[in-house]
Amino acid sequence: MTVIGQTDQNDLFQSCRQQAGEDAVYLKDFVVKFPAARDGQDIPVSKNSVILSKNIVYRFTICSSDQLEGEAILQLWDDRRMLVTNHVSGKVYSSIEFHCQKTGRYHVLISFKEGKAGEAVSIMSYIRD
Amino acid sequence: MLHSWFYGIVMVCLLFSCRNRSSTGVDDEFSFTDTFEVADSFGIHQEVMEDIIENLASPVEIAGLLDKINAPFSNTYLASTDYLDDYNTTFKKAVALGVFGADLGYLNMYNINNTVLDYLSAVKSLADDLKVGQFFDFNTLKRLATNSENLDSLMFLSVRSFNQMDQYLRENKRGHLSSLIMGGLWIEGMHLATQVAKTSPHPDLYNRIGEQKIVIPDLLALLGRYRKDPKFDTLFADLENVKNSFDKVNISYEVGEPQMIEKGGKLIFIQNETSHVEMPDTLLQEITLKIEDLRNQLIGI
Repeated sequence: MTVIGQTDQNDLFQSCRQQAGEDAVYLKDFVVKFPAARDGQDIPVSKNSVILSKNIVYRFTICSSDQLEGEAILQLWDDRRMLVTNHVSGKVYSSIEFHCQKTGRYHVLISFKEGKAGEAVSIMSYIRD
Repeated sequence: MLHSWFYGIVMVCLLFSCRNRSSTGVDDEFSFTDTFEVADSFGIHQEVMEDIIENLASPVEIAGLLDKINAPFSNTYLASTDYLDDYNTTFKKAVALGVFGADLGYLNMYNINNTVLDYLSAVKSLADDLKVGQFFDFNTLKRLATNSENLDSLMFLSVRSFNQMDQYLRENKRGHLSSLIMGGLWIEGMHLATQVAKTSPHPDLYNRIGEQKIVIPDLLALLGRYRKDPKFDTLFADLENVKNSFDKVNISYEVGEPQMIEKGGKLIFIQNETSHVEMPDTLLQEITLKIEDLRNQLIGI
């Protein structure tokens, strides 16, 4: 993972925070930037592990920079399998909600569609009742 | 020959890590460097350890739960800021920063403006001492705290400041301080939850406390990296004692098919694999007492 320029990153972050919605309470953000994957190489993926709690609705807002081509794909995994992604049937959603029913460790994986170069911010929030 | 190369590289690494440590000017009381300890802990690879340390404790979520169950606010649960000068070691300052961070989340959630300023000052003072004060824009935080309409902004800025500080510490070989701050956050979060459970019992709160059985091994793994230091070793042993009680909590799981729906252009995933917590009242009392003892010992009551 490389570092995004501070100003671009802040702009992207602020825009993403607005997109998260007024009912979202900020918990954490993930900042990712990858160059294009080379032929024959695995698509680069960032991985972060978080504890999520039962009976909380989490929202992951995913914002890709328009300076690069890549669209960010977020996947949420438990220790065994992928639970949810914002990339379904070819469509990339900018937000996913996860109604957590089991407290535990989950893994947030972020990559860019088709391994294109990209930069993105994803904000993890919980939804206020 | 290979051995001498290996030892040579290790020595160079140690020398550099020592230089990095002393350059911060605040870590001198510890008898190790992060670089050395990561390779030495439990035989766990650094990448795996880094998996553990993200977002272990979220005081905002605990405070949100207390607010949701309509538990009344009480300042008797809070750690006093009167003894700030007594936190005179890096270890004590880092733990106290976590403790006050959790209290700040509680105060923010209940919008207790007058007291928030005391806790913001305490956080800023401890963060300055640990050379991470740059992440707390005290003037903006103070301005937000004095205007009750800015509650969301205050909460956001407080949490983000902690996140940025934590990331900085981990990226700059000061993960031991990050682990102490996380330990303080978790212990104070549990203290708030267990104290509220005494006066405002609620199934959601009871479950949240019992579910910490799942979280506490991660916290122990995090602190266990630095057990060569006697203060870390003591804290680790005290938390192991708390874990012994959590081990008696029974958590069962019920498998169910997840549900995915699209609503208003948003993708919603409902997890139907649920967990159930069984924790007798006597066990909750035991956990409450252990947490209270440990927390009071750490903040010097």
